[in-house]
Amino acid sequence: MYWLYGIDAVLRITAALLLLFVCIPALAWKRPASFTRLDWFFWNLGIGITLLTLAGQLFTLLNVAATVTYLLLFATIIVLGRAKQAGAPPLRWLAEAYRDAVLFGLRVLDRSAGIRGRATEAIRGGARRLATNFATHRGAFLAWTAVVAVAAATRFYRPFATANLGFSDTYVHLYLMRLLDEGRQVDPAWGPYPRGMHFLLLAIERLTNVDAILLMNFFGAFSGVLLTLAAAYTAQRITRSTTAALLAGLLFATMIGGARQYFALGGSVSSPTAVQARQMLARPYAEMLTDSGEFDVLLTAFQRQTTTLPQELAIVLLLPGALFLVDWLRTRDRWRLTGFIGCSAAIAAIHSGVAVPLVALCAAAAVAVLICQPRSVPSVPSVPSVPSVALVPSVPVRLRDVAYGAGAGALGIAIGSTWMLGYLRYSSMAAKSEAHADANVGANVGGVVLYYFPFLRSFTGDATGEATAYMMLTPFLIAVVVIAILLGIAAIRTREAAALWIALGTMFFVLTHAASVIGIPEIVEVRRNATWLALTIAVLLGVAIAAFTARLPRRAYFAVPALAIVVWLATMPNLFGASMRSRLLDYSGYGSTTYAVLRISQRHEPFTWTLVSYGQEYPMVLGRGFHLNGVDFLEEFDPSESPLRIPTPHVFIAVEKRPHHFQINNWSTRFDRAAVEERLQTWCVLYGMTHNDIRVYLDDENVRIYQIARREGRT
Amino acid sequence: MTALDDLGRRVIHVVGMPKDAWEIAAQLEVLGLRDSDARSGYGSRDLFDLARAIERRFRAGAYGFTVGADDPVPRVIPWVRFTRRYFAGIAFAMPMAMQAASMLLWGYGIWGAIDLELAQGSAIALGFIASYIAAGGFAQAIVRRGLFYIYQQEEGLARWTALRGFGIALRITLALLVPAYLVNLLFGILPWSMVLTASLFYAGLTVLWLSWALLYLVQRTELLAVITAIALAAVIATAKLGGAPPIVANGVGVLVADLLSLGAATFILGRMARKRGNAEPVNPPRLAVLVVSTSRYFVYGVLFNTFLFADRVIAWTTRVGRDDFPPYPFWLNVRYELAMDLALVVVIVMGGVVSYAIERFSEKLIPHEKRTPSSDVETFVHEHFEAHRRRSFQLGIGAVIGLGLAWLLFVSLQQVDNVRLHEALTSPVTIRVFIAAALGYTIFMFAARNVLLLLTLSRIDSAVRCVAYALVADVVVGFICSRAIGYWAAVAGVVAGAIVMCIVAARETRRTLEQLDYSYYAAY
Repeated sequence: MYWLYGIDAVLRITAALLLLFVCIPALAWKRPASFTRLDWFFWNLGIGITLLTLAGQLFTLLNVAATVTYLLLFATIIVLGRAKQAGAPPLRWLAEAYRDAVLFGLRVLDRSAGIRGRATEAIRGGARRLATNFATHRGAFLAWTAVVAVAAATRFYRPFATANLGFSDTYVHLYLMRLLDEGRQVDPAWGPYPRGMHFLLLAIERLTNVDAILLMNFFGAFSGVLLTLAAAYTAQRITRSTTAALLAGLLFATMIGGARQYFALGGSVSSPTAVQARQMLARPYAEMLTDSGEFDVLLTAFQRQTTTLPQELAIVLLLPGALFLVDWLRTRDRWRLTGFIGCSAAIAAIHSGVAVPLVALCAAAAVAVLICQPRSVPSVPSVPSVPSVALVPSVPVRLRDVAYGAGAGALGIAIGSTWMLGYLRYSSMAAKSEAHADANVGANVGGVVLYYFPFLRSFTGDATGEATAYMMLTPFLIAVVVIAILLGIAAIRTREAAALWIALGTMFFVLTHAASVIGIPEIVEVRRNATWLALTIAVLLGVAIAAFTARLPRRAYFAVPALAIVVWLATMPNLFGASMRSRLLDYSGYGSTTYAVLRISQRHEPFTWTLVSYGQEYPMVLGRGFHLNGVDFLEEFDPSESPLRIPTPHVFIAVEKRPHHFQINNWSTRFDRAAVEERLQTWCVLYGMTHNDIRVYLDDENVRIYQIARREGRT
Repeated sequence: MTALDDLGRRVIHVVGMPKDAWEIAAQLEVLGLRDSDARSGYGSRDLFDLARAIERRFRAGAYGFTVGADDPVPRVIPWVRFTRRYFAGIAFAMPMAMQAASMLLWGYGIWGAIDLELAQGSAIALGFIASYIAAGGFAQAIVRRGLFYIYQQEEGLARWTALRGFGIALRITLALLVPAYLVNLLFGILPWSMVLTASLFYAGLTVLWLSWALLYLVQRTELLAVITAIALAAVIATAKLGGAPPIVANGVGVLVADLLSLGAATFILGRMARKRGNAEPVNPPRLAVLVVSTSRYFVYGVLFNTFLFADRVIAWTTRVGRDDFPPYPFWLNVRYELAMDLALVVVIVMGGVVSYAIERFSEKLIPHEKRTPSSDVETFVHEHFEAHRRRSFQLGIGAVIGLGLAWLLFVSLQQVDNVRLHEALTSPVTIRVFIAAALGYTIFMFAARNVLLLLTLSRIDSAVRCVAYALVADVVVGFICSRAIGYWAAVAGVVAGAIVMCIVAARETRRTLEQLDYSYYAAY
């Protein structure tokens, strides 16, 4: 049954994403001639998320974020776009469109125009174009299909295997979504937060009516697939080679972590001293498994790509955004600049932390473009050491242009950071509110800044209390740096800025990764560095292997990439094995409990039921029924009392047979999860001895859901 | 007799007393004369010169034309005329008033009952609103085109058009259920039990509205009250004597009303056509022609009916401010509906005044125009402006009385010995919505008077513009207020929409009255 829920959710989310970032742009504006389909897609993704964020902020402020509002927004975008292209004022264009529609309707009524014939012709024409395109670009089509299929298979495995939302952060994001439903952009306890992803999710929810729990469980996998697509796109954009795209895409899609891929990014531990960290990291993988938590950097990065988290969505736009800058610097194409601004804004709106690698990549782009100045007479590079880049340098770049680009990026960041205006309101609200008297705005903001920029901690005496995270500088990473240097040199020789840019970017991220080990300032929080590091490594290797292949004889042209893929795939762990399942699935709670919430909300009228559970299900139940956390329930209700003082007709009690290891942070010191679950089980047994309206609603090896159904209950 | 006089007599014979040389020129063109004929046959420079020559000869008495005495004007006592027309004007509210009374006395209306479950009530409300909006455009189109043929004494064609329009309307409105089902299937908006109930009432009420449009077309609106009474009796008998649940009784009521209305309408239409002896239409219009000729009235009907119910849809699709935990995206709120219904008293009271005003305008316009020479246009326009102001003042008095009566009813109902009713009436939401709605409806009736005046002069584009702007204001203001403040604030949309409609309609009416001589000609 859960599979069906999952398929339904995936179809809805896919439809919404296609509508938002493919159909509406196609209806509003013709793709610029200089853009490939993927250029255009990422342009629309960046601009689209920015627009959705700005509109969402306004809609939520007025509490009018509804399906009709979004449809109106899209209609406005389409009308404005079409009118602009037609060179007419929007109202006149609308009037003419209406007139044309009426005339067409009359012709249909008079049988001088047939809808069926036109539809058939359109379908046939579409099929013909598709067949022609497929015949012309069969290789590319198969390569991209393979990349998407592998990425989807690895990313969607977790959400399809369990209803649990993955990382505990996702529960918070679900709660933030529920706040948006109520028209609140600022959480009273935590203050403002970048809501770009939430506004995108809100639009998807409003457009498709997808179940919010399923949306939160599956959307992360979409981010993972888009990340893979971004890696493949970047490699393809740099080299114009489908082979590079295939290599980068498949590499990234199968960067899963585990013992056999531990050689790549190694492990990570939090430790007060470097010596202690080295000792801990020197232990074998199996030993680390027992007591080191999230030590496998690559595995954590992969897990994050299967879970709905804003950082991963923001990273999707990281490489395309920087590429837009590279291209703009070289061509002065305004569309590229707009794309860069849009992607920067979207990144800032979704997750401000990702603005840091964006700045780094932009700096790398500026350096690369300044170094790879065009020759006096623009020409295609003759030395095929690196496959020809997407855009031939045509315009000389000056520092003034770089400054202009930086200004554009800053503008994008400013547009995307409008959520910070919430601090104006929140500061006064928090100051007045007794309930949030402990919400120290300054301390919260400061804590967040120190968390994202660890090098600042030394100035404040480490106010976060975070121990330093130490990462391993593996031989693989050293090899990556060497490859990056070689590629960079080749790129300088052939004046191919994009290739130099990816080489510089990768080196920077490797250095960041190893900052604590080699003793340089940790600019970005290193554990967050892992995903974009993996991304750039995949692109770099894809580009490098493709470049290397281009120098080989024709017969080895396919063999080398194929060999590289096979070698890499040999390191891929068995996702379905017990070890990976235990680490990937049910990370923050049992999926059965979440599934129970889904089933209850599907089968019972809203607000006719109450769920008692350990606590995480609270945001899932909001807007559907009522929730009581286990501790409060045990304190408030006596199993012997009759009738039970919960007024809803149905009461469901989730009891974990094997208490889950995850504990809600601020509760764990007061309540032990195992103790709560045991007491809940006892409560149900005692209740069953004195009442006959309790039954088991759902039961598996981990969780048992009891149902108390009373006739006297009221909604 | 000169050729000029011969021609002049022919012209005067056709047009009677000419208003001016332009009218003579128009008639000369109708007779097929051209400038070259005027030059060669009559020695004039062109047709206009020839027309002026004929007018001069006419004024000189060359054609011996005399104006006959006016028909004797029947002696009418103004207040009797007013009373008769006033009550004829509010007859449309009879079914509504009867249902309200029946609800209070026996707890049942035709499509509602006090004991209905809220889910069923919500489904019926949805079906009611959807049917009203879906049928609105068709009803306007059917009536407009039907009356057009009846005025031309083509009752056979009127019957053919009305029944064909009815058939098309029914097919299209029922076909709309298919996408509605698909949307619900895809998006799971409402439970299927609610959707099916809403669909059944939607279908039944659509037939009812379309049948009532036919009854309006044959000018037998008194039957609406009769049919309502019978249907109410059927509902009460089914529920009280047959012991059927309220929803079934309501279903029976709608079915009875449908059968009676449709039966009566088709019978009267057939009789009308047979009486004239042209039961079979000759050369009926093509579908495209029918659509073109009625499309603007269709749009007007859809917009107008949407305006009437947009605030309910907006209020009942939000959870903001609601303390009853609406479980589904569309959930009826009885207090809101009660307040809006009570505020309708203002509409009923003012409706009679509006009806009287429009009828007086229509009956005075033609004779007034006939006896006014074109050189005296200013007086003609000025007098109508004065009459318009006078009627606005009368409508203002009607508004004061209407508001007073509505308040009186509101207070009186609080004395009724019914706890639920008392609770509902004294709730702050009901009071707020009632006050705002009464105010909104008052303004709306001023706008409606002007819109009807525009429709009387066939200024359908202006009428559509008024209603469209009003609907936009209603939806935007109502939507934002209901979400930002509370569901009950959707009533602000009614107020805003009414104000916008009032302003736009007043502007359009002023423009029309300023060129009333032209508007009159253009209308017919």
